[in-house]
Amino acid sequence: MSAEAERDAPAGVDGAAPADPWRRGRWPVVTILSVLLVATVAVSFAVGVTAYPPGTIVEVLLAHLTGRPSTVARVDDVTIWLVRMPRIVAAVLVGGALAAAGAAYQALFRNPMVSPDLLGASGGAGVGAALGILLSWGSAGVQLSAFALGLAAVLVTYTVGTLVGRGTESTLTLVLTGIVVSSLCSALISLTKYVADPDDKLPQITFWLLGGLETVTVRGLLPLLVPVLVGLVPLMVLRWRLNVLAFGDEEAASLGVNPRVVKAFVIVGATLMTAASVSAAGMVGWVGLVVPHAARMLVGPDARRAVPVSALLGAIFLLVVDDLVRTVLTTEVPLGILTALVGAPFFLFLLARGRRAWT
Amino acid sequence: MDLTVDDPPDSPVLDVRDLRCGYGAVDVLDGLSFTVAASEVLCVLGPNGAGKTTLFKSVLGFLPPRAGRVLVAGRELSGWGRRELARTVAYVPQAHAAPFPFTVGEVVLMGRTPHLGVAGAPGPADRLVAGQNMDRLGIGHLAARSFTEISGGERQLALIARALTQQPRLLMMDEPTSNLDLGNQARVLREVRDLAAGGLAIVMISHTPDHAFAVATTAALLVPDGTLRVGTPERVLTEGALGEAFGRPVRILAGVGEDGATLRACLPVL
Repeated sequence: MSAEAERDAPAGVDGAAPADPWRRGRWPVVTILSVLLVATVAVSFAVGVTAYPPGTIVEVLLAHLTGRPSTVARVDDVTIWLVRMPRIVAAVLVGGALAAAGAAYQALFRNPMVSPDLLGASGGAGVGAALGILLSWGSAGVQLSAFALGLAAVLVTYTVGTLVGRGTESTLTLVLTGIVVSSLCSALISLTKYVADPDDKLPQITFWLLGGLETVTVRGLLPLLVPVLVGLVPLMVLRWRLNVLAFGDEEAASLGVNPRVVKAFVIVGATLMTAASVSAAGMVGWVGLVVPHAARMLVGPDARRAVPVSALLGAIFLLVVDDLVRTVLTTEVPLGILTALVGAPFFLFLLARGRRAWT
Repeated sequence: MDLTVDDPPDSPVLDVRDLRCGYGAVDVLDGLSFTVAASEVLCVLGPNGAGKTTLFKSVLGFLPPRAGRVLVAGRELSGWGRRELARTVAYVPQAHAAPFPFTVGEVVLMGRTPHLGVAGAPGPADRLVAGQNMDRLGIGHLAARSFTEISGGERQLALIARALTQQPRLLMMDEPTSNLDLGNQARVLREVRDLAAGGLAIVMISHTPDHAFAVATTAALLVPDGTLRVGTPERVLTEGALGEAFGRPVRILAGVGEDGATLRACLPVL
């Protein structure tokens, strides 16, 4: 094809071309945030009820990762490896996943007010978790049933939305169906709460719904890690095409993008990430809505940068909030409450500062 | 992929034969035939609701034809892959605002998408093509500005630059001069003329017969009964035909331009 030949032709001047002359902002934001994330993780291991020097932390982590013998006392080993490590890793994964999924959904639905649980993922996961707690399925069972019903709810939304829209896959029908499915789910959650034993099960369901990372175990990390990484793949791979979709389906098609295929892959990826996050950490609100806004303020709407920057910012944000939960507050306030307390005013601040960013 | 039909060098880029298309139970267009070759500008005129947009949707492959054929570079439209078609046919929508503030450079760069792999992102060579097209349309200095903040005329030029960045053979322009002031209209029309002189085939929808007189080699007048009259602008866009198509009497006035060429303008009689 002659076009391909032309594409390769001017390659000789590549060296002279600046990295990305038309992007917004000059700062190497991805690099800066990556360093910041590593630093936040390091600090998170050190702080807590007991503070640890870096040497102890490194020794414990190396001992578990490489099987080297360690001289650290048993109680410190347990605190670092079994208590702090899963919680820190989960905060990074959940925060990153929710924010990346939110950024993808906001681009896909061409609406900055969209959050990753738009199509009912959180609602379905809530029903699954409430059911699992009610029927005493154990923590792994609860996580699994939350994940399964979260996926099922999105599947129902997508199928019903397509049927109601008579195969047109209209975005509005999809969003409205998502709202219907979500409120159906909250009715079902209320039903499980209503029949739950008020001394035992009811508080468990309530606490799960409020969101938190204190229940995540080392073994619970794998069922979180795998869907988050698998779901991230289509978001990262298709993020240039996500940009093109911002101009509407017909324009995207005229630019050689198949909007149905891109939408399907991105929805599946974002749903996997959301369902895995919600089933591990409960309803952690605001991260998926607010963080992508902050990311776009930093690097602009180009999904090539906005998606990874959202993921990094989300991971840092949730890790810092969870550190506050662990250290500053004497009683553990549920994470979901704190993200809302931080997220809501921050969102208003963004709204006041950068209205232009989405008008 | 259908490679059995070769593209003879002198064949039209767009060949529409006996096209019938519509939505639901209604046929909007029936029995349409026309061709557009390289360096030709076809201007489609017609009253609101006559089916100009429907015709565009059919040619761009958004709306399958009910009867007849649409051939692009000699090959049936249904035999084209989406990316492959986007490297041959580019669509210039009416100037609009994106929901997110992409920079002008990013918007123009999106024209490289059909040249990239499914998972690809544009590289320096793609930016070079996009940059050349922005310079050519005189909007190179806007590359780092936000697409949502520039004027309507600049947005239209950016969308033309994006289409050129697809490196197509056929440009489909949907009312490229709508909502533009007189100066910007002239700017866009001069680009249309120059691009055709450079070998592009162009189809544009317009509401202004003057623009067809100014740049079109062929005019196509859609009348409300769904038929199409095709020919040189002077032959098709007569006072009688335009009056009939738009349901109002019109007068066509002629003047002399700078280089002695005849300028024509159409005025409605109130």
